[in-house]
Amino acid sequence: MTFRSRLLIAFALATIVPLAMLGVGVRRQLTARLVAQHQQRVEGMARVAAQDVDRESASIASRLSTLASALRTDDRFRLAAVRGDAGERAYLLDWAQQAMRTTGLDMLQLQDSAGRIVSSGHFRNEFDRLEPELPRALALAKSAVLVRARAPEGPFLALVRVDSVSVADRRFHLVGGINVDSAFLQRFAREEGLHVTVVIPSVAPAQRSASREGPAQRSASDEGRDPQAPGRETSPSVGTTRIPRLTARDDTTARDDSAADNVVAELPIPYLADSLTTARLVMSYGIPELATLRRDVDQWFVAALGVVIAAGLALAIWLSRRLSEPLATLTHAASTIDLEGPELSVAASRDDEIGTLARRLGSMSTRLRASAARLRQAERRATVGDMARQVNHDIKNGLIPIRNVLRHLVQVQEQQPQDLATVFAERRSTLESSVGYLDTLARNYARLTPSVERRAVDVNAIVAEVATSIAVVGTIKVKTRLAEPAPRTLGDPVVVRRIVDNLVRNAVESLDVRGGDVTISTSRAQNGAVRIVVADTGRGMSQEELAHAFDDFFTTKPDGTGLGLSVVRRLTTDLDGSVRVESAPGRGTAFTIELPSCTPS
Amino acid sequence: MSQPYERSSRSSSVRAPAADVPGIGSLRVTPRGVLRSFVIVAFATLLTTACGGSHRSAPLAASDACLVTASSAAVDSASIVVTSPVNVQNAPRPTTWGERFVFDLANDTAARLDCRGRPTPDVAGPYRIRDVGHATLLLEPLAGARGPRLTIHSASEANARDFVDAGVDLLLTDSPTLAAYAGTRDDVTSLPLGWDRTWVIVTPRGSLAIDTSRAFRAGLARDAVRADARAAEGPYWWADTTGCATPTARTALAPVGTQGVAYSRDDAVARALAERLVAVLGDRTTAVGLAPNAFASALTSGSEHAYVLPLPRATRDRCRGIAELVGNITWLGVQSAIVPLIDTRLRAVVRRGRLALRFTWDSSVAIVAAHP
Repeated sequence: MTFRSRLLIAFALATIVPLAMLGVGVRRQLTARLVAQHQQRVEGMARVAAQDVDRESASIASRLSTLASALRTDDRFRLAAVRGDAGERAYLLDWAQQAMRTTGLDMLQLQDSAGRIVSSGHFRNEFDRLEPELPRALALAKSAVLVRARAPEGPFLALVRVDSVSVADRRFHLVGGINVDSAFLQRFAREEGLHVTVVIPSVAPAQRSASREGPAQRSASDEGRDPQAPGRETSPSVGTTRIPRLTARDDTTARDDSAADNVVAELPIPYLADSLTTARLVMSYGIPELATLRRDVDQWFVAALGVVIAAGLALAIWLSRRLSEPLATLTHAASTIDLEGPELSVAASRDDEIGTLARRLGSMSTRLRASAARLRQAERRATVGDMARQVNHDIKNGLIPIRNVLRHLVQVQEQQPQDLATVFAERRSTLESSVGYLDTLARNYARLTPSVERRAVDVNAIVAEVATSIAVVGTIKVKTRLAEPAPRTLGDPVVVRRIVDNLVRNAVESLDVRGGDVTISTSRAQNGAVRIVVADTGRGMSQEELAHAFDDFFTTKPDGTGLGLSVVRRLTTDLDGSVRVESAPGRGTAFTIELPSCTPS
Repeated sequence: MSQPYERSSRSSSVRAPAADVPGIGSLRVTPRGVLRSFVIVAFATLLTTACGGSHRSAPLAASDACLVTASSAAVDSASIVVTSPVNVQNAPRPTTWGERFVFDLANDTAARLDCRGRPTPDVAGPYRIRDVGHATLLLEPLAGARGPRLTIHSASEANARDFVDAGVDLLLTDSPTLAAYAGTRDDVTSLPLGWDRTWVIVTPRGSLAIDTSRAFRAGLARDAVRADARAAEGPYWWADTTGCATPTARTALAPVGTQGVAYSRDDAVARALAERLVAVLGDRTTAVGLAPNAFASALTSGSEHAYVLPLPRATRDRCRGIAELVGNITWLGVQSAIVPLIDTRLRAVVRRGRLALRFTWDSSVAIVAAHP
């Protein structure tokens, strides 16, 4: 990652993170305070609702008490309920309905002491059904209790109480109450946006099924149902979001109302299912301004974030340019330092750290220039010495065949004078070749800038010439293994001769007096190059010797110049060829020369 | 698909409510509509003489066993109150007993039979029906027809009391309390008509777990309904298929998850019976009050658990009645059950010296145009 990128990220983090923290903090604080204010209001409304429920409870109790008193003086009721007058039975069955109408109750049952329903207002024809648990459980409660009252079209929630009356030594229970429906809950919703829900504990599957199949549950999909049927209006129903609603549901889902944007207050109400338990009147108030507030904060936050990011980016870009561009320029200049070029002067005039760095670089460059000059001077001097040694070496190589021929001729003259002419004729070519070699060498050195001649060279011929010209002693044998047809390389025959000559000489010198073989072979490499391999059976080279074999002046011989293999490598390179060596101590050495072929393979 | 009490929607010649309605017998009726309105059609197609027992308590004239009341006065007009909804749009297929009474007045008198199955040439009509609004119909005899002009009010029980107090010539009601109140006048005669309807519960998927004993049914008649009722008494024409083509169910019913006992919400007796059955059957069962059309659809589809509805006690042709019943309720078959619950009857409160009435074959009454 570049310095500029890091700088940009650092600026982004340094600006965005604090701003985000500020935004979130402000948002949370505002939300908490607003929620707290509304929570107080809703709890106040819940307290008022509790008072309303108490008033309703008292009102129900009062109405039941009135009915109970009226029953004691109702002769037709006595005739039917006490004396069993069949003619008044219809009056008895209808009594509860009539009483409901006059008292405004939504649910009314009259039970005898055995719990048998003798008259029902909300479910006229449930007479004779036994339900003794209801008045008993209600009698235990001190206030009104929520019950799931049964109606022909299904159950409905009712807030009920119980009263009792004795008529002619017979005890009757009056169970009556009001329907807990949307209209009932509406009175608790004193503000727009306040939702009132009754949450009842989980009911048995059978009861829930009955509720699901009740008329109110079906009303949404079947408008043909009887709207006047008892229990129709009093069954649990779900209103719109703008009006209070009554939802009969499992307690486990009650907490859904306490969503983020709602404040909730709950009022416990006794609820009678299989046993006396507690339902809850949940007052949920949505805070519309909370969403607005959050939206405003979010908008301001986004706007501020945008401005900060833009400013931060601009600042980061400006700073990064101030810092990184000189560094980049300095880097580029440093990478292109030329010891023979102009002085490094980038940013040297700056008075900051970058200027200091530039000046240090310039100083270092100056010192390097001086060192390089000294090095070149020493190299020139070394090159003159090398040249002298190379001339000496080359001339020596050229004179050795001549000296050998002359010694041979002297020997023949002394021992077989009659053959002198014949032998001379045989060795004349060697003399002429060596003289020619020396002549060419002299001309090359005379030019001081040796140039490599490029023409087709018969490698086999050169190898054979070298093999015959080399002086051997003892049992040393120089063998040739030449490829046919003769491979031809593109180069200077003198240079090729020097390469082969140096390699063969080096190989012969590596053999000890007990003898050995030097094999010169020519072939074509797979890549088409002309390959010359000079292998000996000498003592071989160690790894260290092998590593320095081609170094100038490296030699293991007491009278060696250390230039032979160095010259071989240089000349091979001049001919665009390659040289490699394989050797191991006691196993001989093999030099492989590969030169470009004159013709395609 | 419509229900037995519904006029077929394909009867294109049915008039608008406010329009004059000529003799109902002239209305074109689609065969399908006839099938679907079996119950009421059965009233109008009686071939047998199956008078109810009510006429035994009526003050019959010695010369005419079917004569309900005799009048010596020739009246030009008379007022009648029925405590039943009457909608002339439903003509010619009545959906209530009030409509049946009114539409019969518009029918061809030649086809009418008395309680002994004899022709009744002296009955009034046929009439032209005109709806004048406010639940009031004006009936005038067609040209050449005999009988007084009739003003028929369809009234609730409360309003019917006002008409009674004002002096109505004939009150037809299914409310015993209203009839009792009307009978307190000195100038009227209150008498029950024949048992004309049997209320049954029909279950598409087998019988309900209810008590079908006579005691239970008598309890229903005594306590559950506010009507002149008794425990249903056989024989029932739909139960005897002797000599008739064996009906087979044509529609396979899918199981239903609900335990609804359906009734037509205009039918107070059916509602009371359904509620009582729900009270007896337990928490899982509910009463389902449906609009008449919705009830007809539900009955046709068999989508509810049970249905409470009335069937006529008499039919002119038993086999035809059974065939039409099965044709209408296509799922009637092996698994379905028709359990009779109660019989009901109407009561007539007649102002003495005004109208002469004659029992008809279906335990209703007809107005006698001119009594000899």
